[in-house]
Amino acid sequence: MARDVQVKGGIGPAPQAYEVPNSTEIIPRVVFATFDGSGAAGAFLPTVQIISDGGEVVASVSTDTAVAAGDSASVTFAPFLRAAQQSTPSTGGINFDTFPQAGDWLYVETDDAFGGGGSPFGYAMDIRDQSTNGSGVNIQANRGVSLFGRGDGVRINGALQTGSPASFVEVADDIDIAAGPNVGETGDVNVTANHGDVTITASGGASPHISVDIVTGDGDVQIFPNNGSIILSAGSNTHGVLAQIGQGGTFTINDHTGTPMLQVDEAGSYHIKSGAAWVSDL
Amino acid sequence: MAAPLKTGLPPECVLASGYIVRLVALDATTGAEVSGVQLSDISFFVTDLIGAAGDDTAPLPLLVPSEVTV
Repeated sequence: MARDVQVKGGIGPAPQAYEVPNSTEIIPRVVFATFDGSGAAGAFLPTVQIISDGGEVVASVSTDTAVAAGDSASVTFAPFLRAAQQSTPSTGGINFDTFPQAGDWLYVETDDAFGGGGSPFGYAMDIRDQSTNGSGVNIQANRGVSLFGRGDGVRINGALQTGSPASFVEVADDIDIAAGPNVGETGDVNVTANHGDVTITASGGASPHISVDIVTGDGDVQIFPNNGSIILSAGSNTHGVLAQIGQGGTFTINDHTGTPMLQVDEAGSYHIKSGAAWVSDL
Repeated sequence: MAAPLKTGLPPECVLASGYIVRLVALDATTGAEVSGVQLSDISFFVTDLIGAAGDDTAPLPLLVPSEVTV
């Protein structure tokens, strides 16, 4: 006649195996054991395996939660049991497809070493919109967005899609691009259009005194078109083109070899290339 | 203090003579056995289908622990 019984096991290292003896048939109702991982080689899943008399594993049941090396777990194995449900974070979590998600502040930091692999694309922190012709990534702030890159700097790249606007850096206030902001740091501000234009525009609208200023410390401001002209043009009536030299400096125009053709010094004297003549024919 | 965990067992699984119930610690990634784990408080609550005829108090034939290589 069938009866329910309890069988106690001993103490020992995992695995422990119990063989159903001759002339016996059982139905396991509950299996209980304490798994002590204080000496474990790594994290582990407490598991019950049922092995047939032919040596085949017919069932292997593990807990959903791994036990870390050094920790212990008292585990109950019984039919229709499920692991405790993970609680849903009530506050502070970030979830997909959820709006709004607001808090006082959010701090995210990574410490992946250079070349350590990081995300599938090799970055320590990677924020992407991978959808084809999707809505893109928006980073917005009422008081400005600070981008700071030490070492390789900050790169802003835009690949033009058909129908998309030409500009991809646009603000309603200031755009400050600074290289080497701290004492002892050096760096260049490079603005390059490999197959297009570099356009710097301060439109101003109805506001007066809106300007484009290019300021250097001790270096030069150089404009080098590889295959074009340099055009300085005053946009509207009554405005001219002003070139101002520093104290003791000169205003010089060179030929294509870099040899001065025309030079004006601070005394107002004009110097022209030897042998050249003033020609009035325009 | 050991954290309490629970998970399911196949229901109504009749194990005949020669079947083995094995408690083991497995690596979550590779499935390999993890060494250094100690087992204690082992307890089975089972239905003995054959039982000792007419005697509910007779104990189940002792299940002894044994190493089984799978």
